[in-house]
Amino acid sequence: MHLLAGSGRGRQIGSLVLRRLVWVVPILAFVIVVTFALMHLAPGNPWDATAHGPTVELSPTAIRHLDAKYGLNDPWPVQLVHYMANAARFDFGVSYRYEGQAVSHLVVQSLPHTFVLGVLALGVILPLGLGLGTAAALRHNSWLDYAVTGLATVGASVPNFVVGILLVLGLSVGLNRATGGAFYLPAAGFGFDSHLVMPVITLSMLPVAFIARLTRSSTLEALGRDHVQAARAKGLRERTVIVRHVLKNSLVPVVTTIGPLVTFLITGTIVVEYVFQIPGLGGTFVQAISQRDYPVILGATITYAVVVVMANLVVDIAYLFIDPRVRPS
Amino acid sequence: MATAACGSSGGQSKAATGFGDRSVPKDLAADQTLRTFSFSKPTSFDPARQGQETFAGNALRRQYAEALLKPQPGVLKAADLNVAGAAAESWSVSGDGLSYTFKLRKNAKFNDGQPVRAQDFVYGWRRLIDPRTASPSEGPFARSVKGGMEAAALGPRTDPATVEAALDHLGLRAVDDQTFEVTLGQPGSYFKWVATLTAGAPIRRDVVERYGADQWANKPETLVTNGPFKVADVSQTQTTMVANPFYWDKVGLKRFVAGYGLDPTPRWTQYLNDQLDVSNGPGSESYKQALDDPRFKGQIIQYPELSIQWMQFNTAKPPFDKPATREAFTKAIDRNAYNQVAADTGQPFDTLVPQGMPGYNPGLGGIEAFDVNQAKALLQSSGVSAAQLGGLHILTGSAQESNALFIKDQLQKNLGVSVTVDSIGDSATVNSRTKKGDYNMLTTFIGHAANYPDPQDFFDVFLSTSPDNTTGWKNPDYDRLVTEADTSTDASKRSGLYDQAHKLLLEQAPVAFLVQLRRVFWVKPWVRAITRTPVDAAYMPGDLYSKDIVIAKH
Repeated sequence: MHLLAGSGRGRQIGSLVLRRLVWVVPILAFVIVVTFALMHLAPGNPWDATAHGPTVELSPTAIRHLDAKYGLNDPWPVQLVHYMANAARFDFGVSYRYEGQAVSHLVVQSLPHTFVLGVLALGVILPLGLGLGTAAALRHNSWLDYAVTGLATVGASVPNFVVGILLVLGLSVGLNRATGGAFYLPAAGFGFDSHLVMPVITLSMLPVAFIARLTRSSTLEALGRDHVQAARAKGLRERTVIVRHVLKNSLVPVVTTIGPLVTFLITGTIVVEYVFQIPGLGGTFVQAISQRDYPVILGATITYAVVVVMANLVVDIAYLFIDPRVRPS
Repeated sequence: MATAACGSSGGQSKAATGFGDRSVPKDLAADQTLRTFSFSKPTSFDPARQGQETFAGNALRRQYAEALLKPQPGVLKAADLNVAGAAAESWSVSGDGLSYTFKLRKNAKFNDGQPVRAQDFVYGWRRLIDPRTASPSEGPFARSVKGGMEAAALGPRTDPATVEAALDHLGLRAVDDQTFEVTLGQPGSYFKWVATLTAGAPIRRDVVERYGADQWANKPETLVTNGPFKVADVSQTQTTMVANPFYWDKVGLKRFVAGYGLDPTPRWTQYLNDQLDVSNGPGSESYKQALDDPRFKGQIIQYPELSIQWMQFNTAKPPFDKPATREAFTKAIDRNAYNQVAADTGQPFDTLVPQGMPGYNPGLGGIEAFDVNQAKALLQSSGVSAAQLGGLHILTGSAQESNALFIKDQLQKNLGVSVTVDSIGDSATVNSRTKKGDYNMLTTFIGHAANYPDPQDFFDVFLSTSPDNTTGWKNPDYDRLVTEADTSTDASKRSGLYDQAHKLLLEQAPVAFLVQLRRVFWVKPWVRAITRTPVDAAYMPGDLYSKDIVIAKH
């Protein structure tokens, strides 16, 4: 029985992954078409001077040369088909602004910074959110419960750019002054050290609050279920009841949120990268949009889409393990 | 946002004198590194691919690329400024003003040790004017060099042989390895300033051809240039340059680091934490406070920038197709009050050419000056109907929104005209609406900033052929006066012609001149031997001579 169930699950995972991967292609194609349309509909073009200083306008002849060089004179559908054909061969073109630099290079250069931020934040969010939420539920109506609920409310209502600036004021400028320059956190830049502390806190604050509240309410709900009462009545140890019968059930809604959470972290990193001047994909993306650097906009969007698809795939696989309803019988 | 409530008249009266002790110290820091900033990562390190000379982000090239000449050190008034030798040690002009001969320094070298030759200048300038390069800096070169305009105008469908032939006809010649000769299309006494632009630095043909025109400048190893510094590392957060061991002159400073960031706030925090030596201050809210803070005594340096802020009218659309309406609106704005509203601007101003520059003409100040009664009378006489004055819009980038709101207030109060402010965060949208003529009035951060201190640089902006002239205003008389002045070799005749053009421009009022901007820097006291010029870049006072900067022990 056990063996069979195991291989059944393996098969199920295999077919799930396969189905999802088949879907990746049309999803990405859709993302490309929509992004392509939106960015070409947005006013302006890649050759305009940007507002970051005194403007230098290119001569009309220079603009015509650039349009010709990058094929921008072709009708949009033609440009789109060209792009799709190249993208299918993993050729994402060159940046219009960073002359001669491949989009894949720009993305690969900035993505690790964002990835490190996101993974560290997840590493903070999940244990902390789950831990605080479970603890609050198990100590329902205690001071701990009130503290967690209070923190969660504050955490969920303060936007992350405010958190970031307050942290800089306290832990960087404030500490620097208080300790006479002996100890403080760096306010900007990236490094595998104290540079990461404030950005990760900023990024995690709201999701921790959200997950803690969600875990608390789903745990409370699970605690009141009949099967938990039954387990207790059977005389099972409280620990076993909590771990096997309460937590496993209360995790289901939390796992569901991990997909959207990843999406949230992506938008979160864009803000956090701006506040802390971290050279990640978010910064590259925002700058590309403001400069109408079409290939870079597309490259970044595709990257984000792939991350979201993968995160959802992981969530679906996790379901197979924790939700009995999707388990093979 | 920033705040008239502070009540102070801006910073210009304070801390203007006494920029601390900037003498050369006895004890030097072990680490001779200057840590400054640029606004963004340069999109290219190819000297031909960068634009405005003094804009931070572009102007980094002044550190790693050197032009023929450069502005003299230490002369603070633009009108007194002359050029000094850089890659060229001497130069001469023919009697007719058409031919310039530059003698290069024998010991001028690229950062790979190869000598700088006249052929490298010919190649660099030719490449700059080549329309296929699509350089943002081609303008001054194409306009002055003989055959430049013809070559630069060749469109993308022209066959390569025709383009090459046009480029062969340019007035550029390497007489020998040390002698670079430029023939102008027409005389132009401003040309010596064109020769100071680092877009015209020498470029090595062998390097470009070996690594590719789009690629050679992307890696420090292949970025072969001739400045006092060479680019050593380009990271996602900063550009690091180190002294070029082959530079012809002594380079005292060992490393020059420019961190990127548009937002002043993180930069300001780094300055407070001693991680940055130069800052342009905190965000606008705490700006005035930081100017008065005793902690920064002796660290603040401020001086008028050679740049003018203006509001432009869309002269192609009623009611601003009539000069009288435009003039009425320009005279309805109180420049003194306006200057106090904008936290980081400079002094009230109502003419084109900045104070301190040749061509500055305060005598013409009356034409656009604030005068409510005249403004009302002009609006009456213009015959513009009330209907035409309804529904007018001021287009503005969101960073200039408070300025636009102030102007809206002034127009309401002084002319009884009510306008709407369209504040847009996305600069490309603002740009596109401007070019399409989809606006009535437009406020921008900088109307024009000097590339070099010659009036030609300012007057050419309003020529009908200028890509920078987006007002729709075209005036044949103005074009004729300016072109004649640009090409005149007689100094007094030239300034007389510019004055006439200036007067015409102010009367026609395609734009309302508002303020001359100021530069304000906070510089750590250990940064010494700063050699300033009136055309320093927006990221560092004394950037043209940063090789001479020393860092005191601290």
